[in-house]
Amino acid sequence: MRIAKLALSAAALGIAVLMLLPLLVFLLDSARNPELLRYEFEEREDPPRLTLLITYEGRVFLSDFNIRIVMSDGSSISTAIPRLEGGSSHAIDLPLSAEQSISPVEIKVSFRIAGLYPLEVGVVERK
Amino acid sequence: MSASKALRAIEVFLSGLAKGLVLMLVYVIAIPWLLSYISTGLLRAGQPALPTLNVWYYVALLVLFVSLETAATINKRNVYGLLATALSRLIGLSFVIYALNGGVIQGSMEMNNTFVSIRLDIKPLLLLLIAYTFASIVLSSVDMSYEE
Repeated sequence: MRIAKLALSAAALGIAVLMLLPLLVFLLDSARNPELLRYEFEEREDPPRLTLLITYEGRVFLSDFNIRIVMSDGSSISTAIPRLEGGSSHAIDLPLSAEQSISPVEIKVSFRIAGLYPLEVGVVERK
Repeated sequence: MSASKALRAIEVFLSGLAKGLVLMLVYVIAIPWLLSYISTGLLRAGQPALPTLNVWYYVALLVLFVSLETAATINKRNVYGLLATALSRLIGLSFVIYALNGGVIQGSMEMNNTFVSIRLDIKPLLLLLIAYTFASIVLSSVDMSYEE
């Protein structure tokens, strides 16, 4: 009985460490590197589009990555990446209509750290 | 009181003290500190990790945990021990649930005319802690049934 309890406790501790580790590593990475997750916009023509370059330099993978960009005219565009690995870059072309303003005023990013912890970040430009 | 009874009483008290101390350290100090570390790390705000230390508050909690765990050790073979165990674990858990703030850590800051808001959902951790608390209570009841 005592051995079974010890084994159970060790397994429980292992699961706790496994669940906590990705969160702590992500926080450590974000504390060390303020530009852990970077995004840049580039305006392109023919056809008019906004190229979004997402660079992630962390050690923990991010899943269900969603980004929603609200433009200055109130319209919005959004895109998703199923899985973002550490040290990877993604370039996404977001089509724009001819009359659409390309200056983003609000960006909402949501993802799951290691598929476990949902994190939402909202950035709003104040005028 | 014979020497063996006195030794048994000391053993029971020390066992209760050790368990009470561990519960206090884990539920009241370590987990809330970790959550505070996570939230300040996430928002990069220089807040203190622990609230102002009120010694009597912690002494009262320590006495509560040690009393409950000592009662649990004395009554290990009956239902009162199980009740004391369950009570101490659930009181500990209530501190964690309070510190977890509903399983969400959130905050906002403004810099250079840009407003940034962050919301981190740590419900998986909350569920894990609840599961562990109930597992430890169930294990105590299994212990009781084995020793009866």
